[in-house]
Amino acid sequence: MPRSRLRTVHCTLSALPALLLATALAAPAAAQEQRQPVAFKPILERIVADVVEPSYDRLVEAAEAERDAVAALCEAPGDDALAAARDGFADLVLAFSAVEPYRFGPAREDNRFEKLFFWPDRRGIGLRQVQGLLAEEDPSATAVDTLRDKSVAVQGLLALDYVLSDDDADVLAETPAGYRCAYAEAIAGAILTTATEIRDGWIGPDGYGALMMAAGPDNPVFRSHGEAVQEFLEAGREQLQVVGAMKIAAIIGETPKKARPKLAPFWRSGLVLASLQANLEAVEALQEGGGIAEALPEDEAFNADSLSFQLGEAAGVFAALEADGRDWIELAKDPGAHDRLSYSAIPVAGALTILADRYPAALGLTLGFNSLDGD
Amino acid sequence: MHISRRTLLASLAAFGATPLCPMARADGMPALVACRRERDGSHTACVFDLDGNILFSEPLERRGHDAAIAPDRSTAIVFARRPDRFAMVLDLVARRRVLVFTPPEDRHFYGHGFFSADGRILYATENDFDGERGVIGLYDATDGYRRIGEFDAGGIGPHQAMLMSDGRTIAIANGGLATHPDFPRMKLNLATMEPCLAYLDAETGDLVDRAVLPAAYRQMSIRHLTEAGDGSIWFGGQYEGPVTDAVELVGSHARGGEARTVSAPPQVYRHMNHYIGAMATSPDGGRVASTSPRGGSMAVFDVATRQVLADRDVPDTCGLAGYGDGFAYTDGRGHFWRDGRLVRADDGIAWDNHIATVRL
Repeated sequence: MPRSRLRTVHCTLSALPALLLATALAAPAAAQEQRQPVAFKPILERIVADVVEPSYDRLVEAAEAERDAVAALCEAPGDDALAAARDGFADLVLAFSAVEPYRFGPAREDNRFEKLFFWPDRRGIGLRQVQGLLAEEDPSATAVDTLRDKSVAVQGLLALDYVLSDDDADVLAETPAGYRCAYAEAIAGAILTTATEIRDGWIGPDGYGALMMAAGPDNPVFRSHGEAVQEFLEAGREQLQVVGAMKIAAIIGETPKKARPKLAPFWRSGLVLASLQANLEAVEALQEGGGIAEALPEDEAFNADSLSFQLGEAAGVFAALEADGRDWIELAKDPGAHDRLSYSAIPVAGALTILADRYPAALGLTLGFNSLDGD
Repeated sequence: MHISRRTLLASLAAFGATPLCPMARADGMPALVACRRERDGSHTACVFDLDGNILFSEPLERRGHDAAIAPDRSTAIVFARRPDRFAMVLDLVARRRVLVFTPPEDRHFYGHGFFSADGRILYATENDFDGERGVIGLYDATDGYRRIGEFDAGGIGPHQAMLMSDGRTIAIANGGLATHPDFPRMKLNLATMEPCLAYLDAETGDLVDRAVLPAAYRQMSIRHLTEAGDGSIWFGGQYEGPVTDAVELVGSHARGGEARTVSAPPQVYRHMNHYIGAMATSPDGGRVASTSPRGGSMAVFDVATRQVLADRDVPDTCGLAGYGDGFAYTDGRGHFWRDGRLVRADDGIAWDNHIATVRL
């Protein structure tokens, strides 16, 4: 076919000199920065096998337990059964917060990430849609299959948060076979299905983990194991941006008066601070459990301690406020608590800089100036 | 930046109607405008001649993006990179900045803009972030760039927009992605995005045409566009769907027809890594090029046959302009290229995403 021949000719004539020149020009700079090459494959293997897959296993287990707890609540309503469903929800949220950084790969397909976690939702679309279903008692929202065909906003964790923990939710303890409980059970089932799909998308010979491990020139996505490790660094960086800019700064505002605490995820169930800590622990798990820290050259090894320190500093703020006992809405409006929350953004930003700049530079994984993000 | 075909023909006529051989006849006159990061990490807007010599540069408070060039070539407007809010007016004759202006408080620039055919109005793509809709802001170039109104962009996330060669129609690449400055650079609606090409009447703002790609491409954000010599719009996408999907990132649309992607050998698109950063048309109108910083590729397509003419390996390339008898392009490693030839290398600087052409 003439097309491929034509292309070959052009590439040979025009691209080759360009490549040679580029190589010649790049050589001196590369020599100056030369370090021992990092063995990325074992790091990648550990991240996938020891961090990502077990975290998703935990999510699937928590989703299954929560579906059973909600089913038990619907069958035999009561205060204890409702408390058990809420406890199960807390486990589920913490398990999700540990995989929240992995927005790529199987979570990106079929809007699965948004199906689990439709946030931020500045315009309250999810809330309106969930309230609409409860008002209409739409029967198609009470079966997992038909619920999953609906908007991503009505089948995930924030929908279940509302149904289980809104002011009107106590009715769940009183009404046998009510619509609200049937919808909650379907949401829990939809979460289990989506979580299982993502977990299954990671594992096995055709899974995303195997795709990453098979990085190389012929791999459609990852041309090197370093690129795959870079994806995890970027995931950690993005999660810290989500925590610092979106979950803290944008929500608490510059002053307590400007705080909009109800924009935070899981404020109804009282899990804002716990889920933030779980997010930070997920980043720490990438570094420690995944072994990225051990890959740092000796003279850059201090970055690992710095990252742990910054993450711990921020997590300490969240833990202390959680121990305070007051609810999130009150805390965000309280000047003292507001100050501490404002402070937490500083170590989060420090941790972000380490992951975004120092780690890539130390590991030779610096992203190009123009490659950063969508413009 | 895109020069309209009319401007292009006029400029060719001014130079004796023969294709120029740039780089060979540098005359110390402004030819290209681009932003870059300097060695000390600061950002500047640079105006350079045909040899890539900097004629003058102005410091920017933060990263710039693209520039709009007035039809009489006397003025360039350098836009901030989103979600920043400054636009700097450069006097290309006096070789200095003359003004910095901003959009209203509840808007930010997306980084691209263009002038009306008579040069009196500057149009800029903008985000009405609280209203979650895209707009084209209108600024009076004869009155200190006072904002005189806005058009609805016909979609969310208008990124690059241009005045077509008819001098009357605005073509807009609506990426479909909702963003908000409270959540810097996060994409807020991946599950519901609806990218499109929109065409507006430049005088009335009326939506005169709109094109979308088939459903499989719903998550391909249409970001950059260029008008080919035959009057069709060629666009480049950024795919937000699964990284394992094989997608055709370049497409074209002729008014009244369907938008369709351009087939190419799979390795050409794989080389782009789901991301095109700039599009441009060759001065003869017969070829369109795309750059992909993430894939490190610069590809050239034949407009008439839709065949791939070249697929070059250029790490972190993005800035792209039709130039001479082909294309000029830059990268984040300080290189200035022309059709596979390295023209200039500046260690330690990084050329930013776009090049605007003052003259060919």
